[in-house]
Amino acid sequence: MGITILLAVARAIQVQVVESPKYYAQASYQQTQTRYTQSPRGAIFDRSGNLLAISNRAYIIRADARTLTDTAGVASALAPALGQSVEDVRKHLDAIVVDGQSVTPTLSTIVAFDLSPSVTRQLTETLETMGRGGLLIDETWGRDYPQGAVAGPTLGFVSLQPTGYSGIEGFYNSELTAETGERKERSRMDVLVVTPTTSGADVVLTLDLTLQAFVENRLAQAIQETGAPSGTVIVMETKTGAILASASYPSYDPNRALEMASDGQIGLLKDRAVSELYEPGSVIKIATMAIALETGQITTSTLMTDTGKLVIDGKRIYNSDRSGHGVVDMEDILARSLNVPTAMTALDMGPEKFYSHFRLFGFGSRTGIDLGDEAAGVLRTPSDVTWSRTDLATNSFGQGMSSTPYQVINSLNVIANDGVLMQPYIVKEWREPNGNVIAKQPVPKGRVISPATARTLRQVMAIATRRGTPKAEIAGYTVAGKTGTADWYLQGIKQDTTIVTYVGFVPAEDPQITVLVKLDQPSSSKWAAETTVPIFHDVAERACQILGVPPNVLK
Amino acid sequence: MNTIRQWARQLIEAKISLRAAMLLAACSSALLLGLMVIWLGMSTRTALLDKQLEDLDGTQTALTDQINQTWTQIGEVTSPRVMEPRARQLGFEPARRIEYLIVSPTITATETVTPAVALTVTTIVTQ
Repeated sequence: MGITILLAVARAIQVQVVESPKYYAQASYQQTQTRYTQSPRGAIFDRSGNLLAISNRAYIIRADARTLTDTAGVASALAPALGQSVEDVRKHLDAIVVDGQSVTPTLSTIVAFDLSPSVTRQLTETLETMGRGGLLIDETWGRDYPQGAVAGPTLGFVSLQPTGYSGIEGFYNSELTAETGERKERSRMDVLVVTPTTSGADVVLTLDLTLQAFVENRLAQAIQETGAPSGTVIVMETKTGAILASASYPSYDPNRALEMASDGQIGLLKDRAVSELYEPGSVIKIATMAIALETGQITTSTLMTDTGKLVIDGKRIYNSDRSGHGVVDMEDILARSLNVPTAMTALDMGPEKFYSHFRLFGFGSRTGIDLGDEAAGVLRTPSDVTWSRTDLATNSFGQGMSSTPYQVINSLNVIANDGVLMQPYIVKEWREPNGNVIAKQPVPKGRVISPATARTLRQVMAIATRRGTPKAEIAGYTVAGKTGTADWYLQGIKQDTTIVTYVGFVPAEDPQITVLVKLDQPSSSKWAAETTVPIFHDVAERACQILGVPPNVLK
Repeated sequence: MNTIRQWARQLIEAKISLRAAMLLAACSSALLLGLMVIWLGMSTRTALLDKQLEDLDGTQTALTDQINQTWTQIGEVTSPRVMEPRARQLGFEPARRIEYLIVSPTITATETVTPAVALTVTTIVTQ
């Protein structure tokens, strides 16, 4: 009897004292419930407060392969809500059921996503009435872009998690993302942890919605008129580097991004303005002339003899019209976009002097713009094994190198901004849920050329514009700009098509707006002066109107 | 410590009548019951408040959703793709040609009036 009592007491001590933590933990695990709450992701606005992106309640429908039996019945209820045929939905459901019975299922069980509350409610009622089961409905926050495709590639898109990809959504994902709330409790009377959920910060862009919409429409019209399959237009505030509009074609509607991704069109979900590399061509002559002026290599009145042909290490360089122009000065070089005298200037300068200044313009490195997936560009310098003197000659007129459209506009904006290279930016500020506003300030990256050199070059460019591309002129404003035409290469083989670019500043004396227009392979004409200049004219004129830039030529 | 020991000894040594003992038991039970009622009341209150808090969380989420839905609707109806056709329908369109006039500087002798800016640009929109 005594032994039995002793054993019982010993066991009680073992359970209650020695093994107590283990049993406590097991019981806690069984009794504790954890629920997570999620606030919406932050919204995105343009500079005037127009809404560009916001999160709304949405539902994800998943198929439960273990309980879904009547795929035909469920498909008939689902099809109208999804806007698909009953047969397609049924096939999808059947595939999920078959896959779910395998040892290692591979198919996603998601049948539909981003469904609105009203559609989901209706669907639930229909399924309940029919007595059909086998579907799981998850409540989440979907992402809506009320402006549709406007600024689509710049905004980027959001996955179902939701995580931002590409553009603003990708670059500012951590700011936009809401903090998940957690509630851990054993019972209503025994709450262990409560962490409230917090909404993501709202992001305000420097983009102007009205200008953005205009630029996109104008680009789409130009694509039709010129037969170019793709193109980009960027409008930048000269003094700050703030991006006022950025349009690319082909574009996409971020509301449809996930559908496109699941349809294998993920390659289209990129912002060409920031991630596409191309050979900028003659617009780069402005940088070469700026370096030549800055280093004292030439002056605006220096005369050179253009023979129309230059041979370097056995390789020949010609002007675009394949002819010589005799004695020319800087104005002639820019107005007629002459390759030979530009290359001669660079060769006279020498690689060290040329590249040390050329790099300062930002070529060959990222601009640091606050957008996802920015490409760096390629620029060979004498330190590279593959570099040759031909590179020095071709780089001087924008060939044998590659840049993104953002790089090109930002680098040449140096001339407009009195010699200072800015870091382009597209987010003006973000507003945290606690009321804190974090405003971004323009970031000057460094002085590249003196204000005097920049002013001199702008004067020459303005005269060259009047002579070479009078279609760029805007009533009431002086314009300084430069065309660029580069050959199109396909797998290293030169094609009979071109990439055309125009970069211009308005007003020329004290620029407020810098615009880049780029078209790929236009079929109407292969020259920038005939394809990109009219777009520049319309965009710059409208930008001046919208942004209230006062005219500087008054009659 | 001594006081407690003294008090316990007194309690053991004291000869309590049955009636007093029953009274003591009844009082103790009443006290216990009272404490239980208070504890139950507090627990219920805690649970109710917790439920209320959860409901308020839900309401807040629903309101956030409503606000966001309204923002979305405003965003859609004020988007250029909706506004532009409507404006054109009403006869508005972007200016084809803008003419600018120089307004001469106005200098006033009145001290209370701030002198006007040197150059004011007025826009005249012509179709």
